Amino acid sequence: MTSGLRKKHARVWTVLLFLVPAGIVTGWLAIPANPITEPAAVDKTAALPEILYSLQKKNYTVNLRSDNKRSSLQLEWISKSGLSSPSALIYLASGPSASVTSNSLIGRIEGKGTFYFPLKNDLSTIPGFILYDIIHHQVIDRVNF
Amino acid sequence: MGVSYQAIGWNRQKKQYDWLIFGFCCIYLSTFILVTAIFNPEYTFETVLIRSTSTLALLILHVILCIGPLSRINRKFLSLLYNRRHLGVTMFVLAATHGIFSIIHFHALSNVNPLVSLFTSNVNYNSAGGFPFQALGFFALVIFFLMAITSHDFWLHNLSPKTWKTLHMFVYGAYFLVLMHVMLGAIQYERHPAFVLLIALGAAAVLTLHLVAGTREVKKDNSLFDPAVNGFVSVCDVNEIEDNRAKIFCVNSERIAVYRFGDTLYAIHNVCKHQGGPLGEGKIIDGCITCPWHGYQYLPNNGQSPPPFKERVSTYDVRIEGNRVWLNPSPFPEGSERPGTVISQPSN
Repeated sequence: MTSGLRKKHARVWTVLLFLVPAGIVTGWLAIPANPITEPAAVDKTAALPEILYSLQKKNYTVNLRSDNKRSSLQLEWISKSGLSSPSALIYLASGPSASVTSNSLIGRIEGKGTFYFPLKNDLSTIPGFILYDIIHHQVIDRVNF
Repeated sequence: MGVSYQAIGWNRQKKQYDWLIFGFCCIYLSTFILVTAIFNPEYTFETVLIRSTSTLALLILHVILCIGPLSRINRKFLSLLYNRRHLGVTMFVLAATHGIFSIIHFHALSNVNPLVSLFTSNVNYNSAGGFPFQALGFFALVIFFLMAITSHDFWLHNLSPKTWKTLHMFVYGAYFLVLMHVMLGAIQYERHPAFVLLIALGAAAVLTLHLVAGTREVKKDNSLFDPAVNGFVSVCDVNEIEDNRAKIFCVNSERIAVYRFGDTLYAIHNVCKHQGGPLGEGKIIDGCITCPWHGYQYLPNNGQSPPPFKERVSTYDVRIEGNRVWLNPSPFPEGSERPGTVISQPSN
């Protein structure tokens, strides 16, 4: 290595010595307090027997299910075809909020198929849901029964 | 070292090395896919492919960046340096697979051009958490692409070593872009502290190794010698130089390798014409000083590559007084014949 090249390397790595830790710390601090995508809380058990509410959309069907005693609540999401946003998240729509991601995360939809997500058993109000594209930071759809 | 260009300069060692890389990549990818299929069966194959290739490319990038300083610190790592380009191209292929599948997966399902969508679908440039991290990965991939297509010696010769090396030093910028791509992307979604820790440890290893190797190089450059006598500087004891090996001295900001070949000492410029490898860290093979990086060879008595090769380096005068080696740091024109100096008495 020539002396000029050694000097170039020294300058580059001196800059990186500060930039890299600063970048890592910035990224670490930017991690949101509310999880954007906790591992999808997929309920792998069978669908609960009773459909309380149902909504048909072009590409998917959404059912709100419960057991006979209404002690458990479950969201059933049937994607008939792949979504145009492949990594879509479902958030509970809990009224006007500063950002979608500050709402409670229900789970993630990965492509075609049927997904079940357990919900807190509170039927005092009929829950609504927001389908959110985390890559483009856009609301894909809102589900209100 | 070859007299004509070949698509890829494979020899037995490189073949073994490439099979090792290929085998490791296959094992890593298949293990990743299998583990994901068991623990996250809801993930699509595209998602698993995007994740497995990205993590493997990131791992290999760290290894690549560690090879340079490791080979400065310990000669045992020189064989890795000799094969580093193949590892770099492998890393690019994996990163490109990740990039292409990501663009298709995340941007090709609408009526907007995928590349336009990549840059316009998220414009939160003033937010760290919501930063359009994919653009960072895209620019890193462009750098890796330029490096991969110019990795062949054809481009080294046609672009000139200086331009080629400058282009390839952009890998450090690409490394930073990749780190930020990961930190502002996947780390924001996969929040487990282990991922942040792994990234931090990898970066710490790369930075520390470069710092250690760089500090050693600075020490070498700052070596002090007694004032010159008749143009000659006393550099070392003759016993300090092993047969077929050299010691490197930095005099007047230039590094010079003093080689011992049998009972004769020769001095040549330390920088290989190929990629600036340290000739003084190589050894004499078949009567030729052989660069430890890629095997380029020079005759010790005139600094010329043996015919039909045409590379030449500067030569220097060296002499022995008593047991001391004296070196004249004024270079002779590249390829100049110098007689060297004979070690007259057994020095041991």
